[in-house]
Amino acid sequence: MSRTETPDAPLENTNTSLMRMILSLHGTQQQAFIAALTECSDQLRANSERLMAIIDDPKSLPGDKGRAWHTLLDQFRLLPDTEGRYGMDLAQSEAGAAEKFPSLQAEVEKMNSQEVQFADRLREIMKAKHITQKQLAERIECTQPAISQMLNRKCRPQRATLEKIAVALQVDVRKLWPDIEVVDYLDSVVEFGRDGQVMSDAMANALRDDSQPQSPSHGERLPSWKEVKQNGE
Amino acid sequence: MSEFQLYADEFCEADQVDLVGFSCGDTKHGRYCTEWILGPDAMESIANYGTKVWLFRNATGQIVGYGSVGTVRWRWPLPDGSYTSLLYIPMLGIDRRFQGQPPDAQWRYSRQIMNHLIAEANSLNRERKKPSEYLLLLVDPKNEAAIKLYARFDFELLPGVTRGLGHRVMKHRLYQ
Repeated sequence: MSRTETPDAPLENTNTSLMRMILSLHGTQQQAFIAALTECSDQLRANSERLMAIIDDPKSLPGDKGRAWHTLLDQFRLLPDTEGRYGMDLAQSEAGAAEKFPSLQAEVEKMNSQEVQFADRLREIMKAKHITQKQLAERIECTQPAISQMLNRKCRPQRATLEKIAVALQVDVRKLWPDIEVVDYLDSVVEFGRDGQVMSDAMANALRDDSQPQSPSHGERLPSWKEVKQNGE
Repeated sequence: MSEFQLYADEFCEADQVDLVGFSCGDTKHGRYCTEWILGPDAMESIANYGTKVWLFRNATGQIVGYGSVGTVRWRWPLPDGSYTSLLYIPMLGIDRRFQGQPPDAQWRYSRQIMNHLIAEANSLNRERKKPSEYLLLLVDPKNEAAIKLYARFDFELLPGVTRGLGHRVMKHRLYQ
């Protein structure tokens, strides 16, 4: 549910940690932050308070605190890019923060999914080799939109596709995706979930073997955190 | 209620911001568990196969882990070739900061998550005309900790069954 506060009572529900953080900002950044917080949704405010809890927690690791700060400022679009523009996308913002603060580089890399890093590497290699999406699509016999989806982080290429791309770009497959074992395992999971496959005899025998007793466990469903929060419990 | 009580909500795109910093650790198993939820695989599985994915949070809203249950229609070997619908756990993962936690086994996060997934699988089964007898999962045979965890929840390794690059399959006979 989205809600807009009136300017007269903009921050009455804001917790003390968040208030301290606001007070630690200066000048226009503070004004911009208050304006953003006043207009934001309940969910965004709740996110901010959670991030502040990470920053405040003495047990939080420095990297976690750094990320929480960064996300907090980023979600209110208070991190301008090098040309002073606000509201860049998260991926650009992460990369920018890592450039400004080298100690954050490793953390940002860990934070990114490997698939994001793959998309960045693919884009760089295509640029260096002056290969367009259409040309790459022709070389690996797929469609240009499929390449676009990979570059825009909408899908993960399977191992076979990665190898085709590597051949087409004349690079080692590990240059595109260094942690190739991860791709192999994820491919196994996708393959396991593929409908219509004929199971092996060993699998069929194991499923027809009813010597395993039924588990006495019914399991236990957990309550919903969102419902608890919504009900203010 | 214990301070270690977990909460479960179905994962949706809006939750992705909450996953900033989520990591199941630097082991091979940890890396693919992380990648599945941070990359597009989880969302693709939801969109394309109707997989249900839950994020598990603690009382302060921190994400402790995730888990999933899906259905897949496989065919019995020929000449039968008829279809059978199976329930399986595509992936689950626990953030490195919460692995092995809390010390009290009764409230161990892995236990709460497994119990939730088994409850959801049973619930899905009850909605079906022809219930699935087993809940399956894929496991890396080198991931001994995971195999032990699943064994505690009555999962057994299927003899002679390997998938992909040597991954094993485990089955849990659901309560009917």
